[in-house]
Amino acid sequence: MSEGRTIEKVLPYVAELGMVGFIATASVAAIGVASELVSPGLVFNLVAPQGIAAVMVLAGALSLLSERSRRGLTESLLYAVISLAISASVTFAAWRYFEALPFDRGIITVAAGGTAILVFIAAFRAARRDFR
Amino acid sequence: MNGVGKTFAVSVRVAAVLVVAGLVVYVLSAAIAPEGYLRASTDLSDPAPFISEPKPGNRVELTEDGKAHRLLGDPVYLDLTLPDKYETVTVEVAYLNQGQSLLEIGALANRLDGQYDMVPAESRLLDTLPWSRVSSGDVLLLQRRKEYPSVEEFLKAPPATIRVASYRAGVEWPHRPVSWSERADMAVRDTSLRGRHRILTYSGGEPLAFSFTVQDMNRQAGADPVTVSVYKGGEEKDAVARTVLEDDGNTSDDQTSSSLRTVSVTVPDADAGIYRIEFTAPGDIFIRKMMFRQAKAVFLGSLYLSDHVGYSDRLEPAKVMVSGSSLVARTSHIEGLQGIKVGDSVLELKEPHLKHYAWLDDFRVTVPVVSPKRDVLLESDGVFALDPDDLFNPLPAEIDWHTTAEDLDRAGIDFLVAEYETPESDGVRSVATATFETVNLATTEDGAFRFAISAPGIEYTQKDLRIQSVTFTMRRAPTGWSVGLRRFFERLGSGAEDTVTAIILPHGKSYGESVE
Repeated sequence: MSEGRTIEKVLPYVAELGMVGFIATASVAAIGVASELVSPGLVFNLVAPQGIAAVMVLAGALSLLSERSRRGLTESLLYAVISLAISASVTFAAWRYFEALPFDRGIITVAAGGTAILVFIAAFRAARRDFR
Repeated sequence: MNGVGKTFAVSVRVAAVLVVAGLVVYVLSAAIAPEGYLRASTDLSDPAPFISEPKPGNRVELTEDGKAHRLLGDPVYLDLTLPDKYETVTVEVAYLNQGQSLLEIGALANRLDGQYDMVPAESRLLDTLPWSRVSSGDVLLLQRRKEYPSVEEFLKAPPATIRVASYRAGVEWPHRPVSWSERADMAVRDTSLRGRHRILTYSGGEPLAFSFTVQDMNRQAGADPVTVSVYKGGEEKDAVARTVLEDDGNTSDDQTSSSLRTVSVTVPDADAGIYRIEFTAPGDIFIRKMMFRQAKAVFLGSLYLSDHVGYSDRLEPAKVMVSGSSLVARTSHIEGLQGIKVGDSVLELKEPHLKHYAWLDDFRVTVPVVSPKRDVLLESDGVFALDPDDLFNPLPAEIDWHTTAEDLDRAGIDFLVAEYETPESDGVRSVATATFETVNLATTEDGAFRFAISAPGIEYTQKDLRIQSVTFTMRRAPTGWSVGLRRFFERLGSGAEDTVTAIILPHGKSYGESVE
């Protein structure tokens, strides 16, 4: 079996792991952010937020290996508007939340906003598939 | 690109769900702690659950091997944010000590005046003094020559005070004044003082009466109430009298000084004996005048001579007396840099916030101190008096980080009494522990408990003390999962607890600094 064919066979599995890992990590991040609002420190004191972000970026990158989705123009535009609105909200919220860290505030905000955009790009690219 | 098999896809999803569920259970388990036990540890480098980084950051330095943090200043604070209520917090400090004489662990008990409840962790003097030892409970008695068979016998018929030194010993000490007379009129002292103070006085049975004329300078945001508490010597659990003066109504930091107000405390039927008066107030409260009925009144441990900005254009040098073996002076402002006359020598304050040391000859030598500009915090292991007539020193000499066996010989000290337990050590690495009840602890504005690791004098001696780890163990009665979950959901959204004043400590220590 040629090297190219081996990679071609493995890639879907890697992409699948990336996609599922991405959704799982995003779920943990969402739980963390929600709990941070009602009980500060409950999740992010135990699970490092930078660790979650790193796993999310890695898994998101792997998920980009999956087949591209084919969506209609209206669906794509709607998705883009919602994605941008949520990403802007995340960026604004991060800027407000880290007010007490004047020196790290900028980089953390960029990281949070960038991660949110990555999340939506990855989710957009992932195609619906039928299992064999 | 071909797809993946259904078995693989389902397996990955099930695994992901299990991982997320496991994580949620792990977090809930930490939050609920159904077994009533939670442990968190930090090496001061990596982010740790519930524990802040060491503060201020410039008081610790990572060692070359990266395995410990060397203490450069005193003290270092750690904030602990708990996910739930616990009854006790045990602090365990693992460290390597190459020559530091004293190490203490403390917890914030009162945010208003920054009082810490300090617990001895290691005293090289106590550990190495080749004297006879006897202990009872927490109290340790060292005797140069064995004269007392037990601590109880010692406390029942103690020797003369001048033969005794103590170290954080909360034991009653009888005072037998050589000569004592009741004051006919109220004494008036108009030296301006800033913030909290601890006053020691003696009543021969006459009513105890102290009155303070105070001014709220509103230099920092927040309410500035004043509490004056009176404790009878040896009965320091509950105050025998207490008066509270509420804030002036201005909680801003607009630097508008309030009008002069008076807060008084009296004990009409005072029994004869020593009394401690705890003046609890934030740094915005300035005492402009103090009046008292007693013949003697001294300030224990520290005296903060305040500036006259916003009060008076007249600023004459302040003259006070100090009786102790050392004097430490520091100012917070460039305007406060000055030459302080200590006896016949001059102590130059060259840098704001820096501690400047002056050594006195003996534990009980009395020396006049003159501050031309005021605005200086004076600290001593002895007492201060605003007038030579007020001076008396009824307590045993308190040993400090610089006290040596030779000092004890020179001062004729034959007994040393302390509440102390030698830390565990394997010869290289030592582990000291201290346990605090959370009901007695105040919180920071962020709702965290604050702990201090104190190595007094280390910025002066530059001794090598390396902290390897700090572990906090929180305990409470076990709740089980069902009760724990119910309490957890009841608590959600209630926000962090904000305890400004847990207790007033007649033996607490204040570092006179604000750390964010």
